[in-house]
Amino acid sequence: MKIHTESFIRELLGPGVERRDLEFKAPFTWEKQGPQWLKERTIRAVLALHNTPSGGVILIGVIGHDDRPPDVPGVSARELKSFSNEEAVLAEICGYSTEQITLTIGTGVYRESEVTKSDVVVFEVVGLDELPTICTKAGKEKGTLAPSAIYSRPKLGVPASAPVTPHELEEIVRHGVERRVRWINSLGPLTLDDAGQGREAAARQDFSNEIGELWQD
Amino acid sequence: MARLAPDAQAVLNKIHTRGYWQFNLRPVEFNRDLIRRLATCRELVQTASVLLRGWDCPHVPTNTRNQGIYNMEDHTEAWTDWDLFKEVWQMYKTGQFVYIFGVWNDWMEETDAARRQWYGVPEPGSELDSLEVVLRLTELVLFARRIVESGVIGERIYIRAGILGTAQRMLTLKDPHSMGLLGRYVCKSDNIKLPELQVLRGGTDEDALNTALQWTQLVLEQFQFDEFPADAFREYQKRLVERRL
Repeated sequence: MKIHTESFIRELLGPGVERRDLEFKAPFTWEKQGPQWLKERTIRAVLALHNTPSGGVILIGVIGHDDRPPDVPGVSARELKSFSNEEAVLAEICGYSTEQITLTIGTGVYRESEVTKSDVVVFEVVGLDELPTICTKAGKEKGTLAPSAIYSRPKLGVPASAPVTPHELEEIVRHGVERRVRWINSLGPLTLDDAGQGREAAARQDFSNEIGELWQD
Repeated sequence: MARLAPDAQAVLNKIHTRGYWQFNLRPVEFNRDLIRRLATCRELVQTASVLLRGWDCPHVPTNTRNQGIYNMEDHTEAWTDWDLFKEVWQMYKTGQFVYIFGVWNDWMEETDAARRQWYGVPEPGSELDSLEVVLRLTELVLFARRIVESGVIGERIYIRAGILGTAQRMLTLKDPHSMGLLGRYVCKSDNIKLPELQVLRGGTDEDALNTALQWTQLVLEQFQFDEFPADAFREYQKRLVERRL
């Protein structure tokens, strides 16, 4: 697991609120006996962050509140260990995703005071490439994951991982098109090989002969 | 060698006596039987023809007096010699289209009295209306876009255009809502060639308008009109496509 610095964790938690690119999740274990709904809500957050242009971070071990700064109880040693098999975690998440998700799992320490510190789990999710990911199947818990849903996080308003609105859908489409155009442009001017150029030149001559002197050069 | 029927040849000869436009559209590959039936050639032009200001571009005749449309061996041919409209076009089974038409300013003497009074009767070869340039080029590129969108002649086509007989012409702006052009902009070249461009299937009308605007700027440059007012000409295009001219 990647180890993050304390300053990195402090910066994320500093403002004390969730953002489009930052989601808090209460501590839980990824093991089978853990709370399924919390796991599935975390998977939904991963899919949603994947569908935003910049991606983002999920901090596990943090309990957010609407009216006050978040509590950071952190995760227990056993809970932390449940995330250590990154490949297994990623495979489970990708089981709900049409696209390959790029996710780095790490950990870091949040120090509230000289004597109080807690471990948090950090999911770093890479954002949109060309295509959004679509949820492939329903979650086991009601209301967590729905097949064919495209999740995202809103550009404006209260941050939440939810099905896309028309605004986010438009953003996703535009982003995909721009990425493809950039890729095409990176190929440089389209050129034909010698045979292709020869065929085009021959066709040009045939067309020119066809209309003859009707066209004046 | 183009083979014109006598009537079309006569109109072409007449067009050649003054300034004229030429426009050409073709697929990438030469295939003599790309379009199997000549009826399809006619239908293709008819469907793609752009009618936004009372006269279609290109004009598709109805075989009445002073105009004709008919099939030749490997193409459909049309001609018009009515009022200030002098046109000849051919649509080949290869998908190639060629369109020759007179500069309207040069044929004002043959139009009706009302238009003559409003527009004046400039000496043939003396003027080119910049408004007519942007509107014509916009219609031509929109026509090309419709052709490629039909899918009949492939996913991409080449277009080119030009104006001949332009030497010593002065640029004008015959817009009743404008003061016209205050400067004297004169063309030195007698043959304005616009660069060949590709039009791809799946483009938008906006792409077509931009292409026409770029071509317009190139024409006006030949008249030493260097400070191209793109916004003003875009507004003319907008009024054209919204049929507000």
